[in-house]
Amino acid sequence: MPVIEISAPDLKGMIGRKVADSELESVLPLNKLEIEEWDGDRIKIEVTPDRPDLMCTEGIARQVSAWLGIRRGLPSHVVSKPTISMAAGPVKARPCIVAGIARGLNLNDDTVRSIMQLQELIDLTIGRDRVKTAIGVHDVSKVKPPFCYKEVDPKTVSFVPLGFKKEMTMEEILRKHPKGIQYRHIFGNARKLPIILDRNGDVISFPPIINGELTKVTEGTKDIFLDITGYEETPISYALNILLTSMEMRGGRIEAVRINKKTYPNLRARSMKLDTGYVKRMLGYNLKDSEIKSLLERMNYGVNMKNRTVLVPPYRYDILHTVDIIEDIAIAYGYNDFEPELPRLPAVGRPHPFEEFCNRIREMMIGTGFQEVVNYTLTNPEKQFRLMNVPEGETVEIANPMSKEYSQVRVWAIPSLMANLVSNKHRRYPQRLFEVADCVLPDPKQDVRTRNIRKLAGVVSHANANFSEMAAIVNSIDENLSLMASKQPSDHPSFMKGRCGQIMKGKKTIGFFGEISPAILSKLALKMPVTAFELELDEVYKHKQPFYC
Amino acid sequence: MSGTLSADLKPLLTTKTNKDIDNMEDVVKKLSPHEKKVLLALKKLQEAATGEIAKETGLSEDTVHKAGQWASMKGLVEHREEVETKAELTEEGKRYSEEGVPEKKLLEIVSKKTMSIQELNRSVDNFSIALAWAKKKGWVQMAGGKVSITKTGREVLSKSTPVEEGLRGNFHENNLDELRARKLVTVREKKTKMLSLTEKGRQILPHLKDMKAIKEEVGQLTPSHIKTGKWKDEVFREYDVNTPVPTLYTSTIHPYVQFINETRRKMIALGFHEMKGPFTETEFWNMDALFMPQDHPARGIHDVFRLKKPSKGEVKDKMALERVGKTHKNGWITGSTGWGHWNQEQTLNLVLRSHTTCVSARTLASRPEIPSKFFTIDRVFRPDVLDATHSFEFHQMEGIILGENLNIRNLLGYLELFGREVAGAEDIRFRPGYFPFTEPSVEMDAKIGGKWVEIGGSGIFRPELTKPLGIDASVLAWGLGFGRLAMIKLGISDMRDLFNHDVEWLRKRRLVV
Repeated sequence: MPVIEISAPDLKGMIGRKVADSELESVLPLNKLEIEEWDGDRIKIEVTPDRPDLMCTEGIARQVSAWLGIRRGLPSHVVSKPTISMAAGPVKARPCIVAGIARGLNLNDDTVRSIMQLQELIDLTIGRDRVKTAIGVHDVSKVKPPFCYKEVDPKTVSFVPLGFKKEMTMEEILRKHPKGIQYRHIFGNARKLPIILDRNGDVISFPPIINGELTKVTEGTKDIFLDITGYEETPISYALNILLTSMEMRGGRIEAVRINKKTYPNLRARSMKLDTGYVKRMLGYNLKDSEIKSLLERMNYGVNMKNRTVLVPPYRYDILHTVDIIEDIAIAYGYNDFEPELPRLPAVGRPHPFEEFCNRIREMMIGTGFQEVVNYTLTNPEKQFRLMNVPEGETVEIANPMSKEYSQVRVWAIPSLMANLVSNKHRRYPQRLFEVADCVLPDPKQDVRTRNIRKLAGVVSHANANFSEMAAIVNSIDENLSLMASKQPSDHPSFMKGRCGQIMKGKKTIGFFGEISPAILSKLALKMPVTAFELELDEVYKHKQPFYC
Repeated sequence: MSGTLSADLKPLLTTKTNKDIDNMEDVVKKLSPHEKKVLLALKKLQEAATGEIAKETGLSEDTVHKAGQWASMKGLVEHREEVETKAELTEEGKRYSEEGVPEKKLLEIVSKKTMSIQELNRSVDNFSIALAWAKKKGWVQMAGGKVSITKTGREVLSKSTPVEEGLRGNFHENNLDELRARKLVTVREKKTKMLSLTEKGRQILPHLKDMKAIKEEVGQLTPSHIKTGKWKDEVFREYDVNTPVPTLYTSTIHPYVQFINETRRKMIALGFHEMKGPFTETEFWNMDALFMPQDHPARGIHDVFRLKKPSKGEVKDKMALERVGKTHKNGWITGSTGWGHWNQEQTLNLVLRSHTTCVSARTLASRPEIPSKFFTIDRVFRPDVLDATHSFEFHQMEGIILGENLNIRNLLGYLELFGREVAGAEDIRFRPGYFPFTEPSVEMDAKIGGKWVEIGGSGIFRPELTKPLGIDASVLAWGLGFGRLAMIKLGISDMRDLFNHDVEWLRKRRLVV
């Protein structure tokens, strides 16, 4: 979740009336704004990613002011006619651009910080890290209109990038400048790259990489030019609206920019139909139209109850459906002011039968003297194959593991139990451990090409642990489950020769048991003999008998 | 029932007080024949080594040692250790004892005449050792490559030095260190355990019979005693109830599994039906069916494990596939704008499920009855490092409630119920939140043990999720941070301990009730 840091006095100064710290502290969380830290004048606030309009002091002030009923309803915006135009040519690498101007700003530290933070967070969230939106903020007095947006050969154009002293070509910026290295992947293998130039050919911006040093915003800046580029118009238009309406709250006068034949920004509120019956059903209260209207206005909506329409503020990127408006009505109502009400729903509670079966299995194992352990299902080939002296089999492999240690899903459980014995080497013996273990096997017949299976596995370790003792345990499990399985001699590379048996149900192998090979024990530095068994519970479940027989 | 039982038993069980145990006769009763023999031997020998007592009693030294320990735990015997050092000349030491120490030989030569180092080197064996020690002891001095005797040197010339005494077998404090340092002797320590009677031990002597009259007591009652009736003639040893014995540990269901099962039982009691789903999922069920846009940051490689092998699955429910795709692109008939894009190839990518919400989505697509309620508690996977607060594999608890016209008040009603019944919260509060698949979304904080903790998220599933899966009813959905709750309930501060497999920890774990 994005976290913003803002100045508390600056925020309080913009709400429209005096607000005590304690009031702010209780109001913010009720508006999707979670206070992370409040240290003197600085507040750190976690904003939910669906509300980029709240990622700045101005947006929060607007929201809180409306919610408290101070400045309610749809905010009005004044956009003056364009004086600056921009010719946008076809730019394959980044086809869309919008722009706007805010004039007459009186920038202080808090304002500059809030706006820069907003721009970065929009690029990070709705921009998906500058892919879908990349915002440039410029001092427009430093350049001469008209501007143009076009594609150029990156070797042919050079300029001084922001924060640098020397001129570099665009190609050099991509190779050497930190921002170039960080974001060049966005271009893929495009040969011609986007650039914004003024009348004299001076570089304003190289989107989405870096602005020119020429148009750098300072405390003396009065008039700001914004360029926003991307691949589709919806996200960049909302980004522009969010930034311009925030600057307007700081006293900026919004001026449109003409791009080819269109002008930006478009700050007309979107009109949406509101089914008030739906609102009442979702909220569980039979609210009057006037109440709904008042709640909507406390979230900055414009409302026309006669024709049941709602005007959505032009900075609200998150309103896809009526339910999004209904949530806002609920927020205005106050989540803790709802009276919770349990519906009467006749429904029968049932455990998953296999889970219950597994619990019976656990009880049986406890009775047999085994301690239950729980292990991770993620493992690695070394642990589940090589150390156990078995060839690498088919497994589910992770493409982006966090470490080599956990790179695949286990297909059997005994290796996990062996690891448990290793970590308990210095504990008292005898040790008898079991696990009801989730494993995952590749299975091309399934829609997810794998199958979850559950194994019952156990290990026994003490000075006299041997095949006969383990065979007796297998007998007891067999009788307990009325399984009537048979045993057959078997060769398994993890077990000693002539000391391994398969557990058969009819012609199907459903498990195995025996004495673990001393070669494995010495690799694991285990000093006590170990016997082990593993049984496929899914197979056992197929033959399950009622437990009372 | 239990009340009457204990009342009946009471007259049969007499409790012995400390006063009785202090009674000398009683102490004697508790003594094994071996202890008695050791006590009687000490009466005669006063203080004695275990070996001597063994000779006196005819017991093995090991038996005497054990009996002595038991008697000392009863406060009848005390023991101390005697350490005897034994020094022995090494090969080098033996040679010096025959030939004399080199530094003394050097001293004898220079006492007659100051000589140069070269000359001395030729005429004295082990010259460097001799010179080093003679210099260290201040017997000689060197000037201009010549070695001459000092005053101290002359004084010791005719005397026996401590080292020479040691070499003759006379070891004492003044020479042992040097002899050891020069590796002329080896020193071994022999420990002897000396036993003697305590005051209490002497007090009980009059109550003991003499050695010959002590009858062997029987420890183990055997089947043959019972069969032959011989038990009537035997004296059985009485046990001290506080004799230390090893603890016999029971095996247990793992505490985390106990907690999972306890929670499952509560959910079932609240009328929920348990659902299950596979660990690996297509992006379709894990994300697309939940209306998470295909370019959502939470679908990136830092938030979801992608599979290398196998890497692509299929979606068998073709109708759901088509409707979900349309809903993403333009909202389909759900009344939404949609996300404006959707790619069928991406939806087939396989991942390890990153939440249990995919299980809810599959359940919704399976045409469930309405009303109905479902839950699951199971493992999910996320690319995270393993530390005290993060894990790549952890449990989530998730539930859905399907019904006609359910509303936010019903959602809060259920949350309150879970908070109190399942999490054991003293108080609950709600906040708006954000999840891509619910609207409205609610975050719940619970007061547990006087502290507010975030325990879960919830909401009403968006129509963009329910309609494409064929559900016309409302669906309330909620999830609890199950691991966090388990940690609070089990008193664990490190997330890794939920999977703790230290048998000693498990053996000593309190039962979860």
